Amino acid sequence: MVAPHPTALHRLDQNARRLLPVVISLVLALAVVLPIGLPQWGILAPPLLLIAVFYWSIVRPDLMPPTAAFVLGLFQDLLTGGPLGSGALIMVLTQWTMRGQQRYLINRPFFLMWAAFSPVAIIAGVLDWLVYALLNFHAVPIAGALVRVVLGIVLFPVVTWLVLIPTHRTLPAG
Amino acid sequence: MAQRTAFTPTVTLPSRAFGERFSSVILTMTAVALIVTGRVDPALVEHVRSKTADFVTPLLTVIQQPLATARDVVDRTEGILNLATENARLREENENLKKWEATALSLEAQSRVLRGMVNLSPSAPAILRTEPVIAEPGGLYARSVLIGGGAHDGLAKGQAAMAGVGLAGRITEIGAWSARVLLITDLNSRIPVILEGTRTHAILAGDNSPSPYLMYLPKAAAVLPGDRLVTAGHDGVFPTGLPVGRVASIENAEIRVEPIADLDRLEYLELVDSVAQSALTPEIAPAESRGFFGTP
Repeated sequence: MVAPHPTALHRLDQNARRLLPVVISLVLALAVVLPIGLPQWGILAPPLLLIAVFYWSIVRPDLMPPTAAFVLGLFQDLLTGGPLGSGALIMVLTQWTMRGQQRYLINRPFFLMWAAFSPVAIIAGVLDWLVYALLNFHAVPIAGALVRVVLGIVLFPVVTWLVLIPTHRTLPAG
Repeated sequence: MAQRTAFTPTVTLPSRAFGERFSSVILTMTAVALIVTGRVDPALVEHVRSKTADFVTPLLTVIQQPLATARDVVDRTEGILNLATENARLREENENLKKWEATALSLEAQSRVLRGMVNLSPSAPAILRTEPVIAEPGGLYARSVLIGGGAHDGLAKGQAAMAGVGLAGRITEIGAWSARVLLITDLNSRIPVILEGTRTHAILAGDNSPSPYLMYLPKAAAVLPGDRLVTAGHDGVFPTGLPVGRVASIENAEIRVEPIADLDRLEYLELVDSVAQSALTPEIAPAESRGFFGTP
């Protein structure tokens, strides 16, 4: 709990921590494009940012407002060279859908959250594919998109346990 | 104080929910508008994109160092484990290359004589830089990489990027400190090429699969698997004669090409804007005709 007379330093620290969800999401978006030497990593591009936006929208919607989701999605679009706006659209819609779901997913078994992520990942993957196909007037094989979706679902618990939950513990109460 | 906090949720929650819904609607529409804008005015999007790339380049370059070290360690360990087989393979390859070197030298000499006879002016020397690949973004839908050099380093849009001995792509977006190289496998990549044996012209088109295909190849053209393709360089910016790939398969008039460059693992790209005559190493090639392989 907050001390009766919080020092300036303490307030600064608390405010900085409130930025963590966005910063962590930014780092995850960057991690996808790094040439880490795994073959096909850049091509498969697991949707790490989607995982982050999904998670924060549920557990701390106050620290992942719609604007933040939009900017993060836009940043990812600019970085990856994909259609500008498609990532932003997906992140805003994800935030919008998930921010009201706390009561169904918080303090419940983890696999419920994991199960909830699956349809989100599938819809996001199909939407991404659809925007690209419409913009280029060319239906690229959807198989790649599905591989990416599966990769996202498989990586969800890994990213959540290794990165998101530990970060969540350091956050000041809302 | 306690009373106020008790009241706060009932008063602020509905308005906050309303505000969030309102901004969600606005942002969704903005995102859709952006998608449409990208289609209508690609130049604008390209500009914004290269600015963003410039902005994250320092960060990506810094992260690059530990990554490169990690890759190095893995490569070295692998190297030590395979030392014996690798040695045998290299010895064999060296034998082969020596034969090729002799052939190349005599062809080089012959070529110089023939050029002199037809009074052909040699093309401009290759402007070369080697830049690290700082990001291999793309996701499913774009085959491109970011490199850590831009307009400030003398790079320009349209320049060819080589990975080792094969063409990897060309610069499509240029920022001050970074550039985006569209790989030859990208859906939007179209590279004029020549079949080396028959001098038939065609366009190498990507479709996001690992093997691009040939377009506009004359029907009568004789193509066999294994035929080599080099760049045709019609537009004057793109150099001619850079090795691109080999014909991998011919099925139902669809000709697939295996790129020579290993596009899965790009660490450095060499930027070329006009190729020189010689592909020989500096020790053996005449100084005036050093090529893009010629820099140590």
